[in-house]
Amino acid sequence: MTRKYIIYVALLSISTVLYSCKDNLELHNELTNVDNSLDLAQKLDAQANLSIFNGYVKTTGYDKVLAGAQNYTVWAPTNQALASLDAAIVSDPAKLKDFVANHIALSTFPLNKEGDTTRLKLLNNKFGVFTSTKFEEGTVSAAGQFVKNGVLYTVDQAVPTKQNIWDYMLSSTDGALQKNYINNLSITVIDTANATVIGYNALGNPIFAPNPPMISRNTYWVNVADLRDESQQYTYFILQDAAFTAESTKLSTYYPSVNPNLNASYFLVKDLTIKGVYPIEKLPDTLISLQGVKVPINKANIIRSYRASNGMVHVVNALPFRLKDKIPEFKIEGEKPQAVSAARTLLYRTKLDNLGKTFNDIEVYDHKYAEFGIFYSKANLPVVKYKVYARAISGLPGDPQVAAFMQRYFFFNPATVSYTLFYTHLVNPLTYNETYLGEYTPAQFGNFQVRLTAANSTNVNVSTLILDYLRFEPVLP
Amino acid sequence: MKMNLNKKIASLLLLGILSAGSWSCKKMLDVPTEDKLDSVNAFKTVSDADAAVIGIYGQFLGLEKLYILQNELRGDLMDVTSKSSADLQELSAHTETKNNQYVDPRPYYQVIVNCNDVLKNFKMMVDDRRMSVDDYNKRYSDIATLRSWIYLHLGIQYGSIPYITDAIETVDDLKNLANYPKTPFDQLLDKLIAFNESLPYKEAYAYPTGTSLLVTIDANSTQKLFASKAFLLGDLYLWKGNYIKAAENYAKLMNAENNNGNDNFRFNFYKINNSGDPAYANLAILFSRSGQDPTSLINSLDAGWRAIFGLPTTSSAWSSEWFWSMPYNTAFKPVNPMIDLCSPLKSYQIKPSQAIKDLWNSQITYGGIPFDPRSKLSFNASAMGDEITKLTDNGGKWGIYRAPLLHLRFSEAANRDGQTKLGWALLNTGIRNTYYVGTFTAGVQAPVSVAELNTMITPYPQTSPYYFDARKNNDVSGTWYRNCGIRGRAVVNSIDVSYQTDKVGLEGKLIDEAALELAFEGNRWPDLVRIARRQNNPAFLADRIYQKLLKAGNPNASLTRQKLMDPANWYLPFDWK
Repeated sequence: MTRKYIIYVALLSISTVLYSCKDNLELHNELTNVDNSLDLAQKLDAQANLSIFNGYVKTTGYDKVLAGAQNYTVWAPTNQALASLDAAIVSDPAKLKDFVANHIALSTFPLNKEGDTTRLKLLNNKFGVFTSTKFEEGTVSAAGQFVKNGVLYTVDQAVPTKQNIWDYMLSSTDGALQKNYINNLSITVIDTANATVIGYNALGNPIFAPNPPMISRNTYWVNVADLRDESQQYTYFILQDAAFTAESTKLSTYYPSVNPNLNASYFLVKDLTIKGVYPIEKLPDTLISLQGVKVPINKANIIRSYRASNGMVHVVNALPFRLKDKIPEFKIEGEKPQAVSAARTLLYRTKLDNLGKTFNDIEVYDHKYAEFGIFYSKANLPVVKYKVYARAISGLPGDPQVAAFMQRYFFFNPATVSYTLFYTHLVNPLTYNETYLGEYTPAQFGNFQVRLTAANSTNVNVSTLILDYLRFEPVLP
Repeated sequence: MKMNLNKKIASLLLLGILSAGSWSCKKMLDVPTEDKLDSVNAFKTVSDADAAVIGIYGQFLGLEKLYILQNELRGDLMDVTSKSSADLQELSAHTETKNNQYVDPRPYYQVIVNCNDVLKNFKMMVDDRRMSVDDYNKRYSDIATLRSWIYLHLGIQYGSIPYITDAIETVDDLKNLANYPKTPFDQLLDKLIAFNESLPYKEAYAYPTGTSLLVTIDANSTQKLFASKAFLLGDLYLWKGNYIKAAENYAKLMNAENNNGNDNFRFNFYKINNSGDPAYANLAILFSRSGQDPTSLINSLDAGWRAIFGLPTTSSAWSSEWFWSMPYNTAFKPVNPMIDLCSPLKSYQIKPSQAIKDLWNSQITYGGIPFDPRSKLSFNASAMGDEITKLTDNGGKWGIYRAPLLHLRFSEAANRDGQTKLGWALLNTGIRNTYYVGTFTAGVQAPVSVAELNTMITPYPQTSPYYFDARKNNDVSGTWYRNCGIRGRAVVNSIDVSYQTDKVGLEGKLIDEAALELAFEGNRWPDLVRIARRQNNPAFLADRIYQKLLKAGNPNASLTRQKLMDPANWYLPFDWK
């Protein structure tokens, strides 16, 4: 009886196996040449043409790491490749250690047969690019040799550690003016890592002991891009001094701030960083900076280029930005108010105009509040003459405001510390075109504030406010 | 001995394979006939009969997934996702073969077999005086209606099917299903109409108040759990082309609460209104600030249009909308299969098609908003993907019949019967606003004479199914005065008044409205087939499927259109692996 039972179970399990099958994903990643008797350190020992690299591994202590329990991927340069290695690296233990670490990544990475590019973190915290044929600039020969704690690839070139963009900029002798300007863009903040926390406030933020240690932070890292970040990839332009001076001067009248974080030089350098890696052969004629401004590229102006660990650096002798890109037209959208003068029902409308185009605007209707105001602001308004236009459409389907009404635009005047009437707008129903309000030149650089004000009336259909947008068109030479 | 052992091994191997096989296709033949209904001993008293009714409905609920997928994925409003199984991709692209699990009709027949068995036992019970004739009439008619409803659906999907009404004793008989003589769809309709007209109990509700089957259980009312006889009869006549009979049956439900002493029921139930009564009728599209401001759209499971799906079955407002809907309960089996299918966090097999999204976005509301607010309340768009919500709100229900479907089907019948303006009224702004001719004061209807007031009544004799009294002034409130039309309740602009005299044009608009209002609820494919069949215009169906596939980037869109131009290709093969 028992025996029968066992047969039954055995047959059942066979039948179950019959139904199972191999998963496609498994097949795709299947490894065929695993040698489970060796670890990476032993595998390196056994390769005669990798003996120099193996020597470096041993002198820097990484042989113990590669004999450890974690899994690693090693890209080992051949002896021929290391023959031409910079002697300064070999002679300096710290540099050598960094050099070896630049060829090792934690975890096992099979050669990607699909040809995808992967960016891997290496043991020195740099990132290396690994494709189906290449590790950084070195060519990977043949398939990897898998052992019990990882995989070993042979590459035909040494891959010395690269500087990141920030370090390269600081060490570069090109563009001293730009380097010094950016390097000095700093604020001093509490060193939270080393300060003593004595409690937490109601919002859960830490309270520090008096006189906490302070640390300097570069504002370029915060306001534009942290060029030290190894995990990101940027393209960065260094302007030689003459170009830097020329471009800064071009902007100086429009951005006349004395604050180094907001002066003309800042509005120049904020557009020198672009997301992504663009080697010289892949540069288009125009790039878009991280801040959304067009960067005109002329390859003839590029003096030299450097492949950094986190991107590309191009040194240029000219980068002539267009004024209209640097001092762009802008809109203040009605449906994005900053504040209102009283708690009333604001209608954030979605409507169709006469061309069937969807637009969003704001309406405040029958609010029973004389001179009701909606406040808007725009930071860092460049000093230039603007032509100002407004678009406000009443009387569309569903809108109770079918009668003409009046609304006013006030601009804040920092000299008198008060709002000054700029324009009184008679809004006729179904006016789809913009209304030209007039010319405006801000008295000074800085925050620009607008108040949209209703009629001095509490009556329905008279006190209404409607605004799609205000458009400011700079008048440039 | 040796021979014997070999035999044993062979039989055990067979057993092993068979048992493994039966695990992998558990659903196909797992008919619980033996342990629930087969024994005559199970039918001793009326309580046993009630248990059988509830048991059948419990099993019927398991058909929702198949029903929705066949009716919606084959239509143009629902589409597959990048995660959908190959079977669903085929179903959506009309390339399904008999190997496709969604082609197999046997799940339907398993319920039918059980219906037949229960009906036979009910008959024996009444013959042996174990059940009163009155109890018998209601229960028999209920299960018979359910069976006919399944047959109608089978006919729509498969064309010719075996129409089996005798009890099959064992499950094995189901295996020979494909060998049964098949009844063509048109003859099936005749048989179903004759059978359902002959049922002994045909009132608006399956069970009147006081019946033991009407209870509140686990916070759910059972009143709308059961198949709606008049709705089914209306559908059968509509498919058959007998429009006046269809309209009569639909009107029976529209007016089901007209004599209720409670005005809240009389004026609100099944009337499609926007009166805003929070307890009885709060199912219109609502805005917290203004109809001009889409950000203030009420998107709630308890109020506004989405509450149609979110409210509990015990709520009066919910009941004012639904005729037949079966709730799921997260505490019990079966689990609502739509949660897994619709949620981007789960297996995510289905989503709204671009075609229905475009249709919603081509509507304009009274407040000038350039999209149909029902879209935002039917599915939820997020970075994860578009999630159909109306089938899963508050745990979800399988909702089959509700008021807008009734009004649209009634309008379709009335339109074909020559009453195009009445169809326009129910579709757009309601009876009163469409028919009133008279004085307005400050934009408000203010009849100054009885003659003007009486224009608010549709111009038909009181005995006609087309008679609706929508009078309203300070003295009179006609039963239908709150009716505001399907588009009126959804606050979208009316279609052009020229459709009041355009029969074929209005028919198309009624089907478009069914998409806007009833998307994903399981009506689309039958709607397309019915109209294409009636108009003898395969392009009505083929063009819509073509648009769905085209907008989804399917390279075979025009081939599929070509295929669907032949009505023979509308039907699933009555055949399976």
